Amino acid sequence: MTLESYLLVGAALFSLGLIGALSHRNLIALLIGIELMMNAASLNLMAFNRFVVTDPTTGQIFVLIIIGLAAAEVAIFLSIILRIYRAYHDIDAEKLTKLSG
Amino acid sequence: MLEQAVIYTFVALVLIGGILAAFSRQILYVIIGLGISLLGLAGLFLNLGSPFVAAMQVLIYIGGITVAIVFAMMLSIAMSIRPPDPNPQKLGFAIACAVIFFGAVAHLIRGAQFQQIASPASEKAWSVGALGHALLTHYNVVFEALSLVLLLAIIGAILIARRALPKENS
Amino acid sequence: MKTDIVQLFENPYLALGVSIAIIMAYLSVNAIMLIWLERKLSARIQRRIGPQRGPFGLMQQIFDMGKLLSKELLTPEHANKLLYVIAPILVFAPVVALSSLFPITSTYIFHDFNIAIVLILAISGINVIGIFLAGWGSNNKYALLGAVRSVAQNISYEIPLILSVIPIVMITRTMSLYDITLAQETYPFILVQPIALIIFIISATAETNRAPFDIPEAESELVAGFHTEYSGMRFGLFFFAEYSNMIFACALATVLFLGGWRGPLLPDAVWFFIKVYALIVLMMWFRWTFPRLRFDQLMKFAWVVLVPLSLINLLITTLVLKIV
Repeated sequence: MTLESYLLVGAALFSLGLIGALSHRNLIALLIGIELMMNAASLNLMAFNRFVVTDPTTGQIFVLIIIGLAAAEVAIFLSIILRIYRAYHDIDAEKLTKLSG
Repeated sequence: MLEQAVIYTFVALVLIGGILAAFSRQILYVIIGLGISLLGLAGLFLNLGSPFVAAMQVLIYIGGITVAIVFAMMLSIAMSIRPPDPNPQKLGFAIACAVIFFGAVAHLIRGAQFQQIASPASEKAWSVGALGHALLTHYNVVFEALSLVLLLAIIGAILIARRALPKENS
Repeated sequence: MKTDIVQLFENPYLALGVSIAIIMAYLSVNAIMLIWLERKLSARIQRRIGPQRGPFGLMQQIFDMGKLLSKELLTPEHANKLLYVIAPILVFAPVVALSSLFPITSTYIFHDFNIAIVLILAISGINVIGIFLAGWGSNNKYALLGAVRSVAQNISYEIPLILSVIPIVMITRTMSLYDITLAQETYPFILVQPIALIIFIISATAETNRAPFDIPEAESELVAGFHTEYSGMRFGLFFFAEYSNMIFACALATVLFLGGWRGPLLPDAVWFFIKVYALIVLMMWFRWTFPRLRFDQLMKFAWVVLVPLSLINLLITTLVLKIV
């Protein structure tokens, strides 16, 4: 597969993640949309690593760091979700509007 | 020929997982969509020359993050039993944004000319040993910073999700 | 010098088909024999005789298999059909996929990856998702509770498992199972890393949901845990997966710690299987000796005892390797 096709798949995955992050009401589905966007970015990086970059360790380390940071972000996000659930018994993004107005 | 079929299977897995994750109403199907997409992505990483990164993707994302998300779904189960009705305006706006974004990026990709290298680097440069060496010499600071970030994330997650101790008056 | 199965049959697809056939045949026969071994061993430990039909009670297995195959495949009414059917496959597939990585003899192996250990640890993480889907898809609160407990137990014991394998990788500087077996020429690694072997066997017993860590599938606790609603051959598939996981974990322990196929007189493959089955007898011995751990004791043991112990072991290994 050529470089352009990998980049197009990455763009498609990113836009699917964008739809998920913008349209779901459940906070966990929101998190999953964000994770899909991060994965699309790492696919792009690995594609460039293979076709454009001369030293192949750069892209791989970049992707490993992204995976590690995504893990840290998911940990914090999930503990916030648990706290919200304990306080409001609901994780609907449209109902959690106490800070607005 | 079979290799092409395998690559297209992985691309199909990625996109089907993404569609499941974006459009399902049941939260378990969204999580399964994420899992399928990550598996397809691991296959694509393998095809792009790095089995180590593919194995790490499966180990951390599917074995760790997906399971953690499943746990959080179990513990906040109210919304997963009765999924709410979708709001058509919200979904329409999201799809419009995504289509505009995809159109813009596809136009960019079509017009760009990347300086592609003639042939991939040597076998030694792609090996795990070279990766480990680079991680500990050139990218030393990033490695240490990542471990610090993970430590802070663990401590933060424990602190945020902790139940209040009975002695505290909050 | 080693010969890949791909070098043996020139066509790689034929090699793939032959290796899958050999592995599936071996795992099936193995599961049946292990059920018989468990019954005989448990009987002897409990001072009774066990199955007696046929020589040594082996005919009993044939009748049991016939019974399982002839049972009706019931599906619960409101169960999620797709998840209910896919779950046993997800629990069983990783083991079959990874069994080809073990070097059984010194000359003929299936395949030699240079990142075999990472691959093994990564793909065995997919079991966990299969167990959860089995519990959720059954539409039964006991199954769901059993599945959640099993997932919690599995992910907690994955950490000491990974941390006890890392010192071996540090000593031999390679992640390929064939090269690790070659590196144990003068002494097996059990002499250098005894604590790591103990932690590995305990974590492997917990990972495969065997006693004393079998709260998720205990008969007296939660009806039958996550496989409550499975009948007939689907239940047989879960059982099959459990015994295959057991042999997989014991094979990994022999390759990493006990020296793989090395031994004085007998051929290589025979020594490999002797060591694997000795470890399996040890795991079965645990089941009929120790009482079952309560769930909070189980989790506390993993996080408070095993994880610090394996980290200290890793630290000591690093210091010794750097100084010596």
